[in-house]
Amino acid sequence: MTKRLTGKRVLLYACVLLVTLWTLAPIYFLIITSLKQYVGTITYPLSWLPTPFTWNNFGVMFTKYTQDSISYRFLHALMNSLIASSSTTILNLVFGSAAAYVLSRAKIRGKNAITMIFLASNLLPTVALIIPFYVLTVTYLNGLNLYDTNTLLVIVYSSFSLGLVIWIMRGYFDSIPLELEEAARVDGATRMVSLVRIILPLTAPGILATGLLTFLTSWDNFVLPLVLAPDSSAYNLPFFIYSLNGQYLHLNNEIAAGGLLSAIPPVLIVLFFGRYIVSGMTAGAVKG
Amino acid sequence: MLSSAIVRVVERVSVSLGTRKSLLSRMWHRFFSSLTGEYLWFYLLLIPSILLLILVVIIPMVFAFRMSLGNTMVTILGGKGNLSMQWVGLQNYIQILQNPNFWQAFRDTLYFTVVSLLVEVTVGVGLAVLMNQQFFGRKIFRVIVFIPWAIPTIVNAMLWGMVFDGDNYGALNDILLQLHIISSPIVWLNPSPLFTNIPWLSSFMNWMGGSVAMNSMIVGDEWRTLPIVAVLLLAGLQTIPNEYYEAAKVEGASAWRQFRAITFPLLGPIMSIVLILRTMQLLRAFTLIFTLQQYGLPTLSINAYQQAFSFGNFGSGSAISFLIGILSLLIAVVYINRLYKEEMS
Amino acid sequence: MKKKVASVLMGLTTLSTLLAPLGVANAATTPKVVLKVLYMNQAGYTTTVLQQMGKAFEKKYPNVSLQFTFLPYGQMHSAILTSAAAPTAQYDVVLSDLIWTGEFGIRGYTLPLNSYIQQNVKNAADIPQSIWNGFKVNGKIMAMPFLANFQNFYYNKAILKKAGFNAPPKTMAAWLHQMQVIKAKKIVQYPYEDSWTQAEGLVCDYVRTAGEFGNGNLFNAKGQPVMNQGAPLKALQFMRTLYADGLANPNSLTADEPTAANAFASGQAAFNTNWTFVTGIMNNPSQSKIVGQGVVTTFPVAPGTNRATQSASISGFQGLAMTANTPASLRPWAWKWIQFATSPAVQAQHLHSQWPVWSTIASSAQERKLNPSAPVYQKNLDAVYNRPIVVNYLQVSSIIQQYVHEAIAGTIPVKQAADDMVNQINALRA
Repeated sequence: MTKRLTGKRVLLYACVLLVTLWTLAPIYFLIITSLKQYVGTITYPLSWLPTPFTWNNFGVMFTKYTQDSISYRFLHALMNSLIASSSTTILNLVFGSAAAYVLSRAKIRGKNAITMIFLASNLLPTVALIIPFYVLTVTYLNGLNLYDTNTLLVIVYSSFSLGLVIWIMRGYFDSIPLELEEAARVDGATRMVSLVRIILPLTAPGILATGLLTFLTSWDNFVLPLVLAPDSSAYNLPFFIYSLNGQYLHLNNEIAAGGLLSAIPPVLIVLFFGRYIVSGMTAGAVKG
Repeated sequence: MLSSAIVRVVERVSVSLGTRKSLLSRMWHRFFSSLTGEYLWFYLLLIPSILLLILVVIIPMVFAFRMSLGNTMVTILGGKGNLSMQWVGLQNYIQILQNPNFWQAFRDTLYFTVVSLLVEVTVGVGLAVLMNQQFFGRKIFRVIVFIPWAIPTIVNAMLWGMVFDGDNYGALNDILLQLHIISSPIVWLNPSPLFTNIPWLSSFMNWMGGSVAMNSMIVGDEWRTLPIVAVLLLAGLQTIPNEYYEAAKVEGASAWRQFRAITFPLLGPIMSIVLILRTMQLLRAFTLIFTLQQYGLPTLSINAYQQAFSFGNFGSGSAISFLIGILSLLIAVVYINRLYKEEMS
Repeated sequence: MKKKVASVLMGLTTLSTLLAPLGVANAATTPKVVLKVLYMNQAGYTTTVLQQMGKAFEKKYPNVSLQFTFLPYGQMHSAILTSAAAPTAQYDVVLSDLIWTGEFGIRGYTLPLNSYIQQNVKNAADIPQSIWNGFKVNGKIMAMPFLANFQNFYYNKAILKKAGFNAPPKTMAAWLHQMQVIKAKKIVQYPYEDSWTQAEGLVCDYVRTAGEFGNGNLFNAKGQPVMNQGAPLKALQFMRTLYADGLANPNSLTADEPTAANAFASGQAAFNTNWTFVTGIMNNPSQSKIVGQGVVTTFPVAPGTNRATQSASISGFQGLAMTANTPASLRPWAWKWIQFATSPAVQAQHLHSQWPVWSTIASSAQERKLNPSAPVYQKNLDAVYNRPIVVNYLQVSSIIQQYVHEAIAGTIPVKQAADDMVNQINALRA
């Protein structure tokens, strides 16, 4: 019996080790690549240590700031990513929570259908929307000068996260007993006051989860900037990393460095708030 | 003068509506009363989202449908840029459905989606069960496993491009060569057939879209997405009361039996959500394949992108994307209906 | 909670105001004429060089200000299409690849420059006819030549010497023999790597190989595709042989030009057929492990190809074009910039970065001093073939890519792939 148990333990630890290796090996490879000089990336046999070593791949992202330097493009992409992602998050949270509240509380016929339409819209494939979007912005809506702007990206990103925000937030509102709200209103609070003072704080974990989820989705977006905002006025980090893959040289070391830098915010979010995101995503299925 | 004319027209219309007048006025009444009072708040809160939905989803979809019915391309008329949408009816759709390349893309997309989902429900559940065990370092293990999901898709694509490099600098080839598992580097990103020693299986897999490159894509994609699947499923596992298992143990049920009778059914609701989200993400997967394969592995999304943005055929590009849209919506409706039913029960 | 949200909002606002100055490019002075110019980054002249040219131009014409947009090559075509779709052009002057000549010329996205060139360019004959041909469709000249890119034959003389060869191959048979010997002696595992991934680079290699067999024109004089006969068919068979016999690295099927260049610069391949940029890479210690061993020369050709040049290459020219929806008032200025940037005087100042389009400058003492291989360059340039100039070239190209790739990989027999290719292209044109 004890022998079998230890056998099981060994198997368990073997699995754990295997999964850890599988997870960390690619990340380790990315890190050593980012610390190699270019010749280190074309050396055979491949070295699993960062040789010849350099910090320069990270350095070029921040130094020698001139109009066409890598640092110029990197910092602009970083700024654009920050602006577009946080704006999208705020816009989605405000509009989405408001709509979710109504869809949870109001006695409107077909509110389930409306929720479903929102969720379904969120599940549409990107290309299904991007072609008409592109054509509309560059032709009929050309006068609005939306092409190549963060504004356009924020509007389009919203179409890919609003449905999810509404769906998750509705689950949170549903889980708050109606009596709680009614009690507040007996005390004389208006609906808006009770919403802001009592309901919203109770849904704070949901707001955090959907907000972070929206932020991560927007941060990750590649095809929308690729088509709608390739110019330096709005291009984001994923597009920047893609364009590091030059026509003459694949600077894998610089790509790795840029990739690691752009992964820092989402990795931090996942490390510190991962469990909120998970509980938000599962809220629809496991209430409470 | 004008206002009196309007009044007269309104009177005429109401008279001609005759019997329905009372219904109409009742509806008006209800509409106005609903606009006042607290329902006003409801509408004010809901309308921005509905407007956004119309603006960014419904209008573009309608416009895409119109484009798909025309020979849509950019033209210059009298020194001004323009879009011409010469009406061709369903011709774009007919051409697409007759094109073997479209069906190959369709099967490629299906293969990518179905195989990925299979991996996720098997390995994903396994990983979740593993994370749910008691062992030394479990806490940090859970954190480590979650990290790849945070890596941006484009970085993941570039990373796996380096891992799968078919030259000697590819990380995977280097490992396999050093372990003497292979004798010369394998070109992981080439859409070459698998199982070349079994001809019928090889040609079937090739027909299905299951080339070496496609399976490499799935591996690269799963490295990033398995963590979120496993972590979500883990959350589901943690909601299952331990007493169930203890009761089962008392009755002498085997581990496999416990899994089938308790774990699997109770994971249902979470599994549905994971399946919905993942199916849609897989159907629209673009970044990884576009970056590593571009037009060598033309899935439906890539196909639509190429038609529109490389060839400038916005008509057939829209038609393909419209077909993907319909397909996705159909699947979404089926899934969501199931989800609602599950919630009811 | 409310306070937290407010502080987060505040933080974001502060952050964006702090970062905002980065976004404001020097918009201090607003001259009367603003020209918007689209150019690529990471290839051709560097963006720095372009901006230097721009400053010189603005100095010459103080009333004009240039506004540059730099995009990766892959984004250029759709950006030009975008610009053409708008009522007024987003970019007045664009860098135009020769493969877009047919599309832009026949659909009218850019303007023919014939009259501008006739009136203003006195020494037009100094640009080789092979370059002009890349930008001509139905007699219209769609762009003023700016970048003269083409392929060279590179070999590693150390590897060749080890295999017992003191000179590069002059014929296709000799090349094949050298590769076989290098492989047999196990000096390297694969003597050759080329860019055969399904992309434009594959079409370039195919056209060039067909050229080495005597005729790199994939369409005949009547405008019909002819890949299933003569030199193009031989070329396809040759490429298949290289792959099947393990002379070309199997990785070629997923490699693009930089990957192939890497294989050469790392010393893992004896031969490389690639664009001119490899010359710079192979002798740069920070990018190459074969400094001093790489040699650039002319291409081997099959005997009986009675071309005076005894080489065959592929063109990758790019020119400056004026978009068709550029306002009439801007057009004279747009032309002035095109003429300035492409002028011999300006190109002569930037010889270290690009091969000039003008013959007198290419054969100048200055160029020879900078580039000892200048005569070889000249020979390869004179021997270029162009890819087909047709209205839907990108679609035609994707068909070629698909079938050439399958023929090399062996999933379809060579002849059948060539026939299918021709049929598909004909179906497209019907």
